[in-house]
Amino acid sequence: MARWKYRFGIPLVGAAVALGAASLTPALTNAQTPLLQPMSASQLIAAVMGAAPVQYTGQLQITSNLLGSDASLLSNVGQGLALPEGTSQVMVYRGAGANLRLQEINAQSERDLYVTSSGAWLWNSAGSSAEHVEFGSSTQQSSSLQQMNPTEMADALVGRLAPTSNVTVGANTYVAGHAAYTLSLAPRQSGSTISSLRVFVDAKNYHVLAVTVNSVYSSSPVLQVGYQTITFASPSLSNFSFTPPAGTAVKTVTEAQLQSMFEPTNPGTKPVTLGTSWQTVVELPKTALSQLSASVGAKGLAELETPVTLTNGETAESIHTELVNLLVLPTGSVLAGAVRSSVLESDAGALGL
Amino acid sequence: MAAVLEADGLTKRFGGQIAVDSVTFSVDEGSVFGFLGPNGAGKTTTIRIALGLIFPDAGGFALLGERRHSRLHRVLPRVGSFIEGPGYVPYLSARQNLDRFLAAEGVRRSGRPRLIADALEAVGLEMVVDKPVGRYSLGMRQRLGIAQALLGERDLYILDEPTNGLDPSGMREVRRLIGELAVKGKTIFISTHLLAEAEQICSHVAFMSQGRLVKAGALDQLRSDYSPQLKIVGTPVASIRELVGPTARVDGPAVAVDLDMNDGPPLLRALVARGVEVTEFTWLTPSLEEIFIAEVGEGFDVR
Amino acid sequence: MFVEELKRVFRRPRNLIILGLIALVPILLGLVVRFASHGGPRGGGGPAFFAEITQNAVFLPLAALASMETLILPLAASIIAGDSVAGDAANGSLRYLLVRRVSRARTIHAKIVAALVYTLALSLMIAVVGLFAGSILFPHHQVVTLSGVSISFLHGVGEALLAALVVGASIFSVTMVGIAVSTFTSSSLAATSIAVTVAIASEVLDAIPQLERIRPILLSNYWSAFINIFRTPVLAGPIYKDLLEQLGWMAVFYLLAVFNFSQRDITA
Repeated sequence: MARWKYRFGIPLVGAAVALGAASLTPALTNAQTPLLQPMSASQLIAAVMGAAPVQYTGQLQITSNLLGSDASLLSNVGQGLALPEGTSQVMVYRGAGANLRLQEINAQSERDLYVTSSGAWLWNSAGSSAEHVEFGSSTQQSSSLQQMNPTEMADALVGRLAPTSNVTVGANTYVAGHAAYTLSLAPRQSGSTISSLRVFVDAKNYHVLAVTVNSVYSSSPVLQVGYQTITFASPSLSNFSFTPPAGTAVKTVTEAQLQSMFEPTNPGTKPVTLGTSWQTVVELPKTALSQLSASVGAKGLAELETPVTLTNGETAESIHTELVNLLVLPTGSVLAGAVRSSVLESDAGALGL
Repeated sequence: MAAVLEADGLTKRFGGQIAVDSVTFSVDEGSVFGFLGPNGAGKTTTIRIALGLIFPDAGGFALLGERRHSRLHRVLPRVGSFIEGPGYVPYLSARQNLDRFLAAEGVRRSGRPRLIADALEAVGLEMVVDKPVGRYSLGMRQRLGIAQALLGERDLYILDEPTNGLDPSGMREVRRLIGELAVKGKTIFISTHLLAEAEQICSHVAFMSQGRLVKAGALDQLRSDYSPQLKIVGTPVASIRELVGPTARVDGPAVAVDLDMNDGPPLLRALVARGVEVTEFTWLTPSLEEIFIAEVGEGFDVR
Repeated sequence: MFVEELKRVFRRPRNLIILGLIALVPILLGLVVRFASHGGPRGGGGPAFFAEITQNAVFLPLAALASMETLILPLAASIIAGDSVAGDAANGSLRYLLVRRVSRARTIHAKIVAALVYTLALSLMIAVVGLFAGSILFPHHQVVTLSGVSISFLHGVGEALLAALVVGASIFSVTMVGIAVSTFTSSSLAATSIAVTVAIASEVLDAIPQLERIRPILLSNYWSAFINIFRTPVLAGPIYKDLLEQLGWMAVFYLLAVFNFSQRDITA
């Protein structure tokens, strides 16, 4: 009978060890708290602002959980939105000077941005197409920001934030295996859906390793951008050069065209904002709803809507996500903000509804 | 003489059923040991334990003096065995199958063809060595199994029902092979349910029934344990009965009686003096089957 | 012993037929894409590299590997793995192997190695046949990776063979499950069925969004990792994860196979 112990006991122990290793390895590294030189919030912000540029290779992971538990029901919805629901992977290669390479890793394809001082290439492996931007000789990197003293800037920033936000340095942690400080911003006002913003800063070179947005509705971050792995060493130069392969359709974009692409089409119509700071709500014009409906699909939108009775007795449609709430008013315009629905409803009341 | 096989309180259960129940026996070097019993008596399980295929629940077994299962493979090369029918890879030829077994034994590639040829010749399969075994007839497969057991020189041969599925001439052939091995001084442990066959070749026997060992010993010794029977044929039968006494068993013209050998000659003289015409006066030794029935009982109780 | 076990696997007519049929797939795939489709496949869909087949000979074996990795390769590997111990138990030669000088441990190790070699042979067969068929049917100039970087044709061939090795190794977990189950039974079919079921169950669970948390422990989770060989530079992370996943599954079922086989009663 003792043989049963060997026949099944040893493999079972093996399975337990394998499962334990699989589940504990990430948990163990996350659970550790490195001992770091204590820093105040403004010291940390100043250190980040004054940090020298670093060269590195990192794997950036963007996880969005905006739709929360609805995500699986509406898996088709996320694809239409600008911010995809789920996880995406981007390899980041940061070299000296302008050298940058972003590699968006998709299951069977990839998109690449190659940037050098002479120009930039955007490559899409699906369809083998490339776009090319040639940079002019003018160096446009002279930003006025860098002229300022980082410490003064940090103090000014913290001073401006103080009345509305708690800016603190939280428990130290590890991100991608690097010891990191945690800078935490939490609203003092109630009514915001954001419970905190966290910025994780490398303790050695003050490079930002991760940012998370936490919602009052969920215990896990709704938005997470962070490096899974990062190596601070200069990447090989071959990572940045790109020659379009033979047969590629190349579209050349001039610098001027590029700039016009980023300018608002009609700068006259500025969106109306209500509330201040963490309670800021944007009133979007009627066209916004049709744009949203087009991208999500009318059916998908209808599934997300819940009717709400306003103070004046009229009915509005509320759309809830883990981070942003929307209120579609009977007039057709939309109130949107990272605030609780009650704030939107009282704002609607302020508008006379 | 040294014991080649030794079972010591061997016990094995399958599920709740007991297959081998505290079996103890030993096999001397150079003997031809018949392991007898009906199907399901626990013979094959005992043999599988002996060869390390099955682990006993209790008791021990020593094969060529080796008791530890982990070291069994050191003595196994000295054992040739045939267990519950032949085993072969059907899409490989006889030569390839035997080559596989020799390789498992660590025999050098160069030494294998000679051993294979000898073994196949001994069982008369040398003409079909390169045919896939799957296309063999039942008898040929059985012969291949025996060839497998005969591969190379062994000290001990463990043969489980080696004549199953063989025609009478094949059975005779196997008996001849066993006889040749016995003459060479090899120890042979043969399990069979054919008592007549065992009687012809065995020097020692053990009887198994329902997992238990009922009796074991040298065949001559077992026979001498039984008082001999005298068979008298003559006329008139009534006079014979009168002289022999009430123990006489009459069967037609013949009368049988259990008698001490020393009492034979006086009885014959008395019969002649009485004017009985004696046509037959024979001492009968009990057959193996008779001894078996006496020890185990009639009927094969297969559980 | 190991050589004998390889002979047993590679001399079996059935196993050779499986290898032959699998070798036909890239040839058929190439012919269909070359002659039956008009203007080449477009608009996504289909397995990885399917859209690129017409562009370079190198992509034919890759598309074949991607399309066969999810079912045909695990099935073929399971057939051999399920037969490894159970087949010998059923035909009776197992007991005759074990009453010889070899220990049970050596026997099971020889069988494990032979089944793994056969698994690699399957994926390499696809790659080699695919490369030959591709070279005849499609152009063989410079290869463009997913990152838009051109590499030499020979370099591309090397990466295709490397991809085949990675795909073969990705099936090792299924092979090992098959061998472990095979040590419990005399029915090759039962062992094969269970191994295939484990592979398919893993793929089904992998496709359910609610079970995202358990994905990292599913044996099929990183099966498409070989695609990352065709990025510039090669993205090794997912490939290492895949191999680590396979190692974990192999370790557990290796223990089950070895300990069950060396401690169980051989009654067949």
